[in-house]
Amino acid sequence: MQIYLDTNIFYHAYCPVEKGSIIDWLFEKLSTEFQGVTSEWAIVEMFRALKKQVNLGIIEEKDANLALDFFLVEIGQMVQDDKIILKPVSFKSIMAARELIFTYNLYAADALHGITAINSNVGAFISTDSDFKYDLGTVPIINPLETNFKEKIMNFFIE
Amino acid sequence: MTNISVSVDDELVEWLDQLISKGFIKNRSEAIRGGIYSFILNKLGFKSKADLREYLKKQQKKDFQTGKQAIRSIREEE
Repeated sequence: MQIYLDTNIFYHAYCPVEKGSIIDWLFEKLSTEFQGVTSEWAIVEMFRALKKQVNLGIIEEKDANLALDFFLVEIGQMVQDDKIILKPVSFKSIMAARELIFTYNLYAADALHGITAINSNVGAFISTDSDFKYDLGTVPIINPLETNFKEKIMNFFIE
Repeated sequence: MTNISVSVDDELVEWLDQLISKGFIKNRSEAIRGGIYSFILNKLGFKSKADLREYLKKQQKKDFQTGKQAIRSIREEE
C-alpha cells in the first residue's frame, strides 16, 4: 500500500505549525509495506516555501537552511530505507498533466502532484490543503487536520 | 553517481563485511551512504522533527505561514 504525500505534509513536519505531532505519527507509520510517495518537485517547493518564510521576515536564512538540510537528510534516509519513493518529474507526467489543467483549471504544480499520485496507483492523497478538491479518480484526498485522520489511515492496515 | 575513494581501518571493513554476510546490511555502498546521512544528521544536532520545530519556534520573529498558505502561495506564483 502506498499513500501520496503533498508538499504541505513535509512543510508541517519540518516547520512549527499546527498539528505537527499528527504528521510525526504519519511518518512513523511509513514502512516498506506502507510507503509514502511524492514527486521530486516537492523538494524544490520546500526550498521555495522556506525562502518565502525568510522573505516574510519570519526566520533568518541560516535557520531556513538548517531546516532544509535536516529535511533533505531525513528524506534521503527514508528513500534509502524504502519508506518513501521519490517520483521523477518525467515528460510522460508533464504531458498527462495537460488534461488535469484544462479540465479543472489547475495550477501546474497541483496538476503535476495529482497526475503523479494517479499514475502511482496510491491508496490516498494526503494534503492539508482544504481547497485541493479535485477528482483524482479512485484516489481519496485525506486531510490530516480534519477529524478521524488516524482512523482513516489505520483503515489501510485493516484492508 | 560519483566514486569516492577513502581509506578505512581494516578492522572496520572486516566488521562491516561480517554484517553484510549476515544480511544485516545490503552492501558496502548502502553502509557508506547511510553513514553520510547519519554523519550530517549528527552534525545538525536535531534529535527529531519535533526538536527542529521547537528550535524554529524559538527563532521565529512572527508566526510561520500555515502549510496551506505557504504551499498554495508558491503554487500560485506561476
